[in-house]
Amino acid sequence: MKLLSEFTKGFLKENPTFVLLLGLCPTLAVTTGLKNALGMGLASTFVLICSNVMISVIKKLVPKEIRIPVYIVVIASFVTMVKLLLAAYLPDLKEALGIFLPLIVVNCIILGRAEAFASKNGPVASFLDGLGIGLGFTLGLSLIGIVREVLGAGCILGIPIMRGLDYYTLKTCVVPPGGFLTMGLLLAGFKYMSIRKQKKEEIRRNLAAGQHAAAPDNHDGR
Amino acid sequence: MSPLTHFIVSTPPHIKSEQNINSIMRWVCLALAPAFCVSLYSFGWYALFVTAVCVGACIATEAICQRLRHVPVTINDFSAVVTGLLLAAVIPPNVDWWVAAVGGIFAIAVGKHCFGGLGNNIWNPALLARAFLQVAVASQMNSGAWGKLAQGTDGWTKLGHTLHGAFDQLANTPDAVTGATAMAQISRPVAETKDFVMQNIPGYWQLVKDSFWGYEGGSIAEVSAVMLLLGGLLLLWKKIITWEIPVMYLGTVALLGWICPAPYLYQGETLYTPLFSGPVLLHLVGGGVMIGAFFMATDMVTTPMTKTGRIIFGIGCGVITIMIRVYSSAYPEGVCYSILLMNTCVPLIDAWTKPKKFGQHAAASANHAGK
Repeated sequence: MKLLSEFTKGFLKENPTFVLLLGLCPTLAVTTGLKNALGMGLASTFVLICSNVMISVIKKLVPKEIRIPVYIVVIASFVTMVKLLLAAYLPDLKEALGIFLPLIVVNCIILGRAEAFASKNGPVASFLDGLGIGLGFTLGLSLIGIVREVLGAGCILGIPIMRGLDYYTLKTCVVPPGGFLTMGLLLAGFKYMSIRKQKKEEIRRNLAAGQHAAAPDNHDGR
Repeated sequence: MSPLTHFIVSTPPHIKSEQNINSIMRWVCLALAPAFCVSLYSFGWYALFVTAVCVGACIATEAICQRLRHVPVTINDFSAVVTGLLLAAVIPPNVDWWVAAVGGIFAIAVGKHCFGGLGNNIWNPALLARAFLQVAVASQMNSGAWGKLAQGTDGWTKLGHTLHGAFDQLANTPDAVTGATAMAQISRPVAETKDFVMQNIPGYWQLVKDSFWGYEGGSIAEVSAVMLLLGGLLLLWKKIITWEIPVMYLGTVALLGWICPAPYLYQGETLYTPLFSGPVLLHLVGGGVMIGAFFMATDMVTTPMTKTGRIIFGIGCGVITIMIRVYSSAYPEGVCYSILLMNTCVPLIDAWTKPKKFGQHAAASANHAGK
């Protein structure tokens, strides 16, 4: 049960993009389309899972004073692997992600999970944590990517949704300012929904408390 | 009855102004009216339709945003109408209707309500929407449109036409054609001779005259400098705007426009005109500087609160406008971006020019003397 929650928390409760606001630099840079967003998200997920498991395994061997350099070395080796794999099998995607692919090394989500989770938990929990957070990151990137691609180019994954739709597109969405705008508006939307949910829960709790308090009154009175 | 019953006990403020949001916004609408009349006459029914779409989108978005935010719906205070009109004023008359609608929605939803509604926005919503559209649908925003009035060669004779004659003639001209606007013509022109100044471009004086009266191409309500000037003077007279921003803005544009050497192309290489030779008059009457100086840069919400602050603001707008107009190779006109950039600086300017509290200076010097 606890393990399951380690996996699912990354999707909504601790979504790295919309709740923790981590890794914003690649988020804004590569989400011009769904394809790049998915590629970036999955590459990061792979690195996150591998580094989480590895760090969790070696956590007892690493002296506290030099743990950050050790984590960086671990993360960097997996990033290099991803980079070489992509160069071999998906050169187009590697080209599109550009500098942001090697920069996964300094993505604060990965170092953050290593420091906050993998160095304190076992390999299985760390694996699930990495998978959940990684997929949450991919989900966030994809959402922004879809919005920007649909509004900016009228396509999904480079395939036009409807003939003639590309005339009615807003090119702002595919240039960097559009990344900030889309991100900001989606964040506002998420915040709006979470505040509404909180308020509803509060009302429900108040109602329940009110009934509880009111019940003896009724019993007492007329 | 004792006279004391006539006293009203109330909390301050005791002096109340006749002005309120509603009256200010109505006066702004009225001040924009002459410029719109000239433009709608020149550009035809479609420009009126675009204007209506802008205003309608702004009002509808205002109502929806205010409902979503659970605040009172204030579409009757004309502020959304003014935003719509100002937006329509600065977009070309030949854009598609959905572009106008997207602009209106963006202006109100993102430009205004994302920051907390009227009074809290950092940037002028209409200009923000224009900047958004400039990137979003660049091809439509950059097509300089020329109205019926602009198509005649001599504006002066057209002005003298009888109404009947004018209608006769207008019936045979298309509603709008496109061509380079005045600002595009002085942005890196190709020169025939080596010692070139901007006044040498073909038909310079005609261009100045046409821009002044409104026979030029351009955005919906920025074509007629004289009508915008009239509207601006009306706002000044009604004390809705103060003199600092328009005067400093136009003054800086004229001064720098005169001083700055402008690039031109001569046999494939870029040369610069001599110092103190710029086309001052065209800089003043052409493009969007009139509507910018009187209607956009004077927006109460997005401009500094102190007099010194407004002077700095006006000068800053003028400097950035000329820098973009003269030296940018991408944009022939810089009014929109200059005002948006200076809007960004407003909190800083306000902090700099914050007036000293009464007695503050005396206390400081007394302390100094005591030491």
